[in-house]
Amino acid sequence: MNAVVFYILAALIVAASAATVGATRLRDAAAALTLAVTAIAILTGAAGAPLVAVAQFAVPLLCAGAGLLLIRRGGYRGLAGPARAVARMRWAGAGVAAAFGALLITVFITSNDGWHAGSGTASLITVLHYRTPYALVIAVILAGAGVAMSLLIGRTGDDERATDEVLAARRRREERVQRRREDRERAKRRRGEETPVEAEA
Amino acid sequence: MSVGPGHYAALSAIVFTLGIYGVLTRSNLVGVLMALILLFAAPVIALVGFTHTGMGGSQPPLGDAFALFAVVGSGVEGAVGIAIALLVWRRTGSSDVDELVEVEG
Repeated sequence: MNAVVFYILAALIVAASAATVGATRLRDAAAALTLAVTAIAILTGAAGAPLVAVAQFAVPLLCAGAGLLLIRRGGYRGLAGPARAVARMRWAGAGVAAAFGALLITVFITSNDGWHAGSGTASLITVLHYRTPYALVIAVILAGAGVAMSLLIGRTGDDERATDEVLAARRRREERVQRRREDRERAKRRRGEETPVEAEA
Repeated sequence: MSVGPGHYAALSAIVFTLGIYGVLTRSNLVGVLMALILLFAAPVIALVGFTHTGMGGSQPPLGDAFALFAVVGSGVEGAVGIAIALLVWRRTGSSDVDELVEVEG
């Protein structure tokens, strides 16, 4: 790959990644993540792995799209609503991340030229089909199990629906009682009588 | 100047570090999920870079297979993560990770 293209994409990826973890608003973070994932997919494709590039682009965005659809249509708007962007332990987190970064850089410096030199002579389809079919099968099983697991975790069960209905009914009852009390007090005030709140005062 | 495995490794390390920082410092569950997706994308850069740079030996690009596997793992993690986030929101009405420390049973 051309070094200039690599450096441009690398700069874009690093900037977008930093924006993803640093943006205050989740909307901005999502936009930055989309940019980062797209840039990584382009880099992967330019490096010579088009199938991985397509997967790298499609899978996270498919996931994010499904999540966004659920949040918007399923009544979970508050989940992505305004919240504190940064946790309490941000300095500890920064320290741990810096330690990991230092560890990786140290490993890279000490490994010098001892990198694995790959080839890229065979296509990924060939590898998955003839050399490592088990990898493809395991990936498919993993994807199926993951989707099934997420549906199992995220579903709304009968017991949960019943509990929600009970809670909603209680909330409606309390609101009705409160409204009646306020109506009574308003009526008494109109008649010139002393309300219980005023009597207590 | 040519691009070698070290370049990909360095880029992967930076993205990985940023991902860890995001996972540890984000307060919102959705924000943590976004950082996790970033964290999972980092090894893909290294795996693909290692596979497609170098001297061109006779080995097949197994790194691509691993990378594809990592991408699938990332998708699964995202799906399960979203499901957990929705469940937590339904139960607690909060998306703040710090508040989950106080959740019981």
